[in-house]
This record gives sequence, structure tokens and C-alpha cells, in this order.
Amino acid sequence: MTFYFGDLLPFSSQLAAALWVSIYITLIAMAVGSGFGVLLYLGKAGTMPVVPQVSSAYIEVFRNTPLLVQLYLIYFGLPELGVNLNPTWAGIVALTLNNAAYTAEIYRAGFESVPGGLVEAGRALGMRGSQVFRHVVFMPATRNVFPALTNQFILLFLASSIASIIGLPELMNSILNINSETYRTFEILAVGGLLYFVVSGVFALGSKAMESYLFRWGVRSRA
Amino acid sequence: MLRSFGWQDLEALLRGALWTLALCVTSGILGTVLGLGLGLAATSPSRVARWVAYIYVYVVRGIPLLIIVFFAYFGIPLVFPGVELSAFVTAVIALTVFSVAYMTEIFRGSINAVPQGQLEAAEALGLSYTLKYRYVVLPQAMRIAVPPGIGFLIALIKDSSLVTVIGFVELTHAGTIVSNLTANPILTYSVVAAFYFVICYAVSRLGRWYERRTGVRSEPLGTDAQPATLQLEGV
Amino acid sequence: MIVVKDLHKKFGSNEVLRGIDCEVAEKEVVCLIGPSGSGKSTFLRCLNGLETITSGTVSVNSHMVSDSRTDINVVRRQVGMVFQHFNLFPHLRVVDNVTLAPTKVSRVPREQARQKALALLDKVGLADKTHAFPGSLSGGQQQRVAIARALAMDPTVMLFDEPTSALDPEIVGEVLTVMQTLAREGMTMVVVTHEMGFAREVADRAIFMDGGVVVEEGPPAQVFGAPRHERTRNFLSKVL
Repeated sequence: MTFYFGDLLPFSSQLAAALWVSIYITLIAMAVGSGFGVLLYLGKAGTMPVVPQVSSAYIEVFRNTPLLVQLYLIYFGLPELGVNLNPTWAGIVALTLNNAAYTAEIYRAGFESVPGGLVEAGRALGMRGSQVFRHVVFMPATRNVFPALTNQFILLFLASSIASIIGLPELMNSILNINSETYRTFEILAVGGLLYFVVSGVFALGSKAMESYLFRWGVRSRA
Repeated sequence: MLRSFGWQDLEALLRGALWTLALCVTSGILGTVLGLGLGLAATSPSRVARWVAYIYVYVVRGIPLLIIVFFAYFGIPLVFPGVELSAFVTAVIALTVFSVAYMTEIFRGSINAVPQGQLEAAEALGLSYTLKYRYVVLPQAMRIAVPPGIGFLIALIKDSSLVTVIGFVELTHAGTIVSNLTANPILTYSVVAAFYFVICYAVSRLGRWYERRTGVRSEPLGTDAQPATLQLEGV
Repeated sequence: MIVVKDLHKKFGSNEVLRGIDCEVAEKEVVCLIGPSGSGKSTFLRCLNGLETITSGTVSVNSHMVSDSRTDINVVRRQVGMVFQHFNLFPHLRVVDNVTLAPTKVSRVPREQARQKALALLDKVGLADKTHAFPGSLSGGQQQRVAIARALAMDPTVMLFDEPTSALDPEIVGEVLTVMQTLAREGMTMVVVTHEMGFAREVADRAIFMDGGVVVEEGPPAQVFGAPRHERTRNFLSKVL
């Protein structure tokens, strides 16, 4: 067997563009999904009527069903209800909704690990629940689960490849297109895999650096 | 040839679900056995063994499962010309390669989680490496490995949906077929989702029963006591 | 200032406070002593609403804490609390720990709060640590920041829940000194403590609690020097 990586060269800009698509849909899904995830957690942990059950149900459903099926429901199912999303939007929506459920659970562990004394100190100072949450609890909780959050980001990035199945023009899709044009299957899969691998690695390193900076107050909130 | 969603469709989906289970049980068992081997390598005194394990895990976990599936699908006929594997076998191979990487990490973590004192006691008694592992380390490591192992099984069940791309008719693929036949994607895929939900939920309850019975806890998701390598659920 | 009548507190079926009557006058320093489990901390935490009241009345500065209709945050703005484990906010610098509540709760302008914070930190002897993170401070330093943080809200009453119990013996003194200064300046204080020396020296009144009731109270000289009750004597003989 011989390998001709050179046949892939003309496609390098296409690959780069597709990689960028993968990255930015991941970024959107992470940013919006995490925000939504925190809200989900607050809903679940809160005292409003009905909301905790709805949040719980949402989290359980999205965590116990495959992303692909969720994607199919959004891309193929929603048109039945009159909502027609193109593959890109369907992919972003699916990734976001999926990510929210996982983030909610990650943050649950985070918030529960913040020592109760901090909350009491905030309340004793007269701060309202929302103020305690924003100013006292949120940062220590995030610090505690930061590794899990970065792990989630990387998993999300790798999972974005699933959207290729509905034709979203991201990296995996590009890989398959190039494969059908060049028949250099091994080479393109290897190069594609390498791209995913390297980018995840860069994210992992970058997050370590971010962690040292963001949480340079060092000692974990003591019990 | 459109028709409305009926019992035969439900039956087709059920068959798909059973194939999903067959797929996951097979890859799960293979992945666990091979993963245990590689896990032992990852914790062995031999540097080479550790590096081999480390590289395997690092690479497989750093690429999307789809790439592994396509590698199996396109790659096997290329490397072994003339060999024609069924979609099931190809799928099992891909999912096993994937599972081994995660199970290796789980076993590595569990073996390392056996308290140092146990190893010291075994060594003080003069037990060799093999005896030490066989009678002291592994029994304890296995118990510790069950909760994250179950967590991984759930992830595997969900990720098995990806083999739909090579045409293997597991649950998701069956869903696609039925959805096209009945032009009823919402109902069809909701039923598909329900099947996955029931299976995954049942498995997670099994896990919780095990945790309650043996008192072994899985690491709560998110605490940085364990590095991100043991986090498996994400999508 | 503080009037407590027949306070009962139950945790489930466990009655921790079995009818406490207590009054604290302005500028008075009251020390609560007693064995573990006597309910001292619970009593303290009832005063600012960190624990809910099962029955009885608690009023602080004429606000009925025991009445659920009262806005507890109004009370908390006037009552400062110092915790056994400091509970400083680890992600905020010392000065920000102190300015957080005044700026967010009392809506004091940022600069004004800062100036006050720096003055308070200077008063507790930590002028050089204003921009450090709590994680880099010793226990005694952290507790002094906690005191400054509580003082920043201009409370009329300060509650101390075993403020030195988590500190190494050599450091206890620096915190007690600050508390002594506060007492001399006329702050109304309720202190749950095991530091008998401090109670004897600084308190106007000592209250001995055991099993959820007030067993004995009076001037420290009397409670420590000539206790009237058997249980008080037993307790004191064990700790002194």
C-alpha cells in the first residue's frame, strides 16, 4: 500500500475553512449552551412550582438520548411543525441544547461543592439570594468544575463531527467530500483525525493557562 | 410508498434496539477485556508498556468516533484486500477500538485508586507482581471501576448510534428507515429516543443499585480531584 | 437592642433550644459559654435569621426577626456576623471582600466604600494586605478581615460564633485584641466562645447554656468566680 498525502494539498484551504466552521459552532454551542445550562441548574435547584421538574426532565432526556437522534428530531422533525432550519442552524441548536443538559449537571457538582459557610457569610451581610449567587458562589463553583468544563468543550468539539451526517459543512463533512474526490481515504482520515487531535490538544493547553490566570487566587475555597 | 406509523414500524424499531444492545454488549465486553489488559500496561513498571497505553488512549480519545468508524469501514478492506466484513463486525471493531481507550483509562484510574497501603502490605508479605495484582489489586480495582464503567456503557449506547453511517441497521438507522417510510419524523425519532432513554436509564439505575450495594461511589462529575481523563459523558 | 422571649428551636424532632429568654442592652458585651451541643451557636444564628425559629419571639433593634413578614435583610444590614471558619470569599481580594456588601446591599458609592474598607483594614492591623487574596493569609489574618467585612456594614450589633476556635493558639490573641477594641468603643456584642479569659476580661455579662436552656447568667466575676449552679461548676471545672 502506498500513501500519497500530496494529493490532499489542493484541498488544504477547504479543510482549514471547514475546521473553522467546526470551531465556531462549538464555541457558540458552548457559550450559549453553558449559559442555558446554568439557568437549567438554577431552575432545577430553585423553589418555583413546576420548573424543577421540567428542568430535571430536560436534563435527563438530553443526557440519556444520543446527540444524533436529537439532531434528527431538530433537522427532520421540526419542519413537520413548520420550523425549517438549515443544517448549520439545526446543528448549532442541537449542540447547544445538548450541551446545556451536561453543563447543568457539571455546575450542579460545582455549586454543591462550594462550602455552605460562604453562602451564610453572604446572607449574613444582607445579600439577597441572587446577589449571593452572582458575587459569592459563582466564581468558586466555576473554579471547582473548570476541568470538567474544558473537557466538555473538547467533547463538544469532537461531537460537532456528527453534524456532518445532516450535511453541515464542517470538518468531518469536508473530509468525506475530499475522500470521494481523491479516494485517498487513509490519508484524508489521518489528516482529518490529526486536525481534530491537534486542535483539541491546543484547547486543552490553552485552558490550563486560562485556569492558572482566572483562578490565580489559588487555594480552593476551603471547607 | 407512504403509510402511517403502525405496529410493524414499532417492531422494526424494537429490532433495531436489540441490535443496538447486541452491538454494545459485544463491544463493551471486548473493550473491557482488552481495556483491562491495556490498563495493566498503563500502570505497569515498564515504561514502554505505559507509553504504548498512553499513546493509544490519547490518540483514540482525541479524535471523533466518526473518524474511527470510517477508518474501520474504508480502512479494513484497504489493509486486508478481499476481506469482506459485515456491517455488524465492522461496527463492533470500531466501537471496540473506541471502548478500549476509555476502559483503559477507567482501569488505570481504578488500579491507582487502590490505596497505597494495600500494595505495601502485599509487597511486605512477599507477593510477586502477578500474585499481588491477582489477589490484592485487581479485586479491589474492579469494584472501583464499576461506576465509571457503567457511565461509559451509557455513553457507548448513545455513541453506537453513529454506526448508522456505515449502514448497520441499529436503532437509529431503523429510525431513519421508518421515518422515511412513514414521513413521520417526529413520532418516529421520538420513539427511537424513548427506546434509548429507557435503555440508558435502566443501565444508570443498575449503576446506582451497585453503588448503593457496595458503597463504591463514582467521582461526582466535575470535581477536579480526578483529572478530566475520567470524564466520559459529554454528548 | 435584642429581646428574646421563650425561644424554641427544633431540628426535626430534636429540640435544641428549649425556651430561651434573653435581653441584650446597647453597648453590652455578652458572652455565651457552655458545652458543645448546648445550643449556643444555634441561638446566635437565630438572631440574624440564619436559623428559623420554631416558636417564641426574637426582636433586634425593634425588628421582629421571628415574624416571617419581616424583611430579614433589613435586620442583617444592622447585624454583623463573624464565623468560626471565617468564610471569606476566596475569589475576591481582601479589600473587595470588605466592599462587596456595602456596594451591593447598601448601595454605597464604590469609592466611599473603598475608603472605609481601607480604614477598617488598617484598624484591624491589615493595611498591608488589602490587595491579597484570602488564600494567602493566615487564619488570624483572615478572621480579622472577616471582622472588618462585618464592620463595613456599620452594624449596631456584632455576633461572633466561636471566632477563635479554628485558630492556632498563638494567633488567637490578635483576634481577641481586635474584639476587645470593639468592645471598648462601645459596640454591642454577643460572643459565643470558649475563651474564658476573654469572657472574664471583656464581657459585661456571661451566660452559661446547657442542654438548650440558660442555666446561669450574670457578671463574669460572679459566673466564673462564684457559680450558683452545679452544672455551671461542673463545666467550669472541666475547662478552666
